Amino acid sequence: MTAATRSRHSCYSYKDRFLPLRKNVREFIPDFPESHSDECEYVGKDFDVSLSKVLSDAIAHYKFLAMDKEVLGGTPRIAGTRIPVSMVLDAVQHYGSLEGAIKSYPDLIPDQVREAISFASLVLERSAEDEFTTSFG
Amino acid sequence: MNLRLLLDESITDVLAQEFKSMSSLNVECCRELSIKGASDPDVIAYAVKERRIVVTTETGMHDGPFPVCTHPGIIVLAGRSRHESIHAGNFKKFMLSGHRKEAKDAVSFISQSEIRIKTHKENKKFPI
Repeated sequence: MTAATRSRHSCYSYKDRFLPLRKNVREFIPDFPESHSDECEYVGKDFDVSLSKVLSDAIAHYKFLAMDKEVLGGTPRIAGTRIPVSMVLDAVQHYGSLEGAIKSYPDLIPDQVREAISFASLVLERSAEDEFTTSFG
Repeated sequence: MNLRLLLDESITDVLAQEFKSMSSLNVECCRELSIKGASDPDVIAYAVKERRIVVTTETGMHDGPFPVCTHPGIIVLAGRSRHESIHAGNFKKFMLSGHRKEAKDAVSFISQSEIRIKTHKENKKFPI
């Protein structure tokens, strides 16, 4: 990430997360900037990231999930099986419960299904998490 | 003659039972064999040894990594609607379409709208 992008992300986080606090801050720091609009430009989230990096970063957090080029062509899956995370999510979507996914895949345990759902969430939130880390160290 | 199939682990239990109930199929499931959790090449090697067509939902198992005629066939249950009842319905339509014999030594994609069969000679596409 370039310095310019980092600066814009700082602005993004500042504006979105702390704008409501600015009024209070000015009571204690009179020269606190009124606005950042001249210094930086608002941009949305940074989605210009490699999907394979997002997936491999995310999967490192889960003990029941794995990715391996030799198995399912590298698709994220339940470790020790050939069951893709995406199919587990489909089963949860269809049945509306963890138990439904286990009905579809009787060899799975609830913790594996929970991790599959959590993984999907983490992948979608990864971009925002990266901005937060960049902004606040 | 029965179609000999090897169901990948991504095929749900409900769908596997549907396949097993079809009298025109001879079915084995990866998860009931020693190849549970095996790599793609190991699954294909087992299919070659047992002369079975691999049935999977994994779109990465196609003629790129596994060229046509190096295995007995791969059938990919594709499409956006991936629920087991939809897959079962699509597969039944495929079985009744008159094209099932063409799945041997080929890579076939079955979706809600069409069947695509890639053989060593040509690519065919049929509405389902």
